[in-house]
Amino acid sequence: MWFRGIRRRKAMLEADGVGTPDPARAGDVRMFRDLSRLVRDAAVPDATAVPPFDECWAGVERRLREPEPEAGTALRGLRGLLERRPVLVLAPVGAMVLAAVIGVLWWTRPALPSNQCFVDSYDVESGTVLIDQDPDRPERPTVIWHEADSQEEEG
Amino acid sequence: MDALERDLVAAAREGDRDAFRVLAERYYRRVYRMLLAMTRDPDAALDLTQETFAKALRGLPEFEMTASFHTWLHRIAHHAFVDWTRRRRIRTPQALEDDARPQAADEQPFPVGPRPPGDPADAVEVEESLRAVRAALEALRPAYREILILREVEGLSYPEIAAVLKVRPGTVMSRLFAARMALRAVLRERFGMDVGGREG
Repeated sequence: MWFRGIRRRKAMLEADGVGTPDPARAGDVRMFRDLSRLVRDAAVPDATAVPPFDECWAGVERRLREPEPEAGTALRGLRGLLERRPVLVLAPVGAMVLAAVIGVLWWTRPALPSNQCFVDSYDVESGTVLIDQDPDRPERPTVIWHEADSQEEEG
Repeated sequence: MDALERDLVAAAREGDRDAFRVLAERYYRRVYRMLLAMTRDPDAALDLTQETFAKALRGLPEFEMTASFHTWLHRIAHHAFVDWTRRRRIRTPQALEDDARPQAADEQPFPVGPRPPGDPADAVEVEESLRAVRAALEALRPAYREILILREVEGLSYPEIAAVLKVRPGTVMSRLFAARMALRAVLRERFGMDVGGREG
């Protein structure tokens, strides 16, 4: 079941089963289900061989025997690089300083009129799929599909 | 965390290596398969799994007992994967496409959807479709591939994914949306595989 528009959580729960199907979104829902199934089937087949745990643990033990990287190692490497290729160190530093200046200027710019708007919201643990959102056209509505866990299992 | 896991974590925090080994064995298959799905490289997956457990053991003193151990472990694996993608030289898209193309001479688009069982030709088509999806996943940005694996393969909830990636739940949703759109576009443009939905 899917809905067009914004509903309060309570209204959504009460309206379960009596909402108006939105055929325009049915294709999206099917597409997301197909994509989910394809990713699940393709990502790691069930028959994939997993190396024995002992093989993994031997590598873990080996890593634990190795000394942890010292904090000073990176600093010494940076100093050596500064002596050999100063431009490789100074150019990023210069870029960071420039970025910081731009950041300060941006942060202290005159405030623009807010384009925020507030909508009703509801909290769900799972089963929510963002179906449509266009970052380049923020005036367009965001479409969210929510289905109950039992429906999600069916997909 | 269940009671046994809490006890194991507590013991491991006190330096009990055997307790940590039991914990690692509990999560080994899951972590390995997740990293394999992300890297598509068995050697890299094993290497990153070992790195994940070694870092987890070293970092256990900082682990908060009120947190979820498996989410924490996923987070360490996430860092290992991010480091790996930085170190790795990304393969060219053309090579990926070549990998995924059907070996047969025909270049028919891959069908999607349920099909009757029993026909060997169908089995070949299904395998080719899955191969295309694997290649398309590999062609995605690592951040997209990772979030799809966390959601679709690992089955993590949005709050869990948000905790692993240290982003807001809204970002999880929008990134998942973008990842699905990108996957759909790659499947259609490179492999002629139409998953449906609206145009655009």
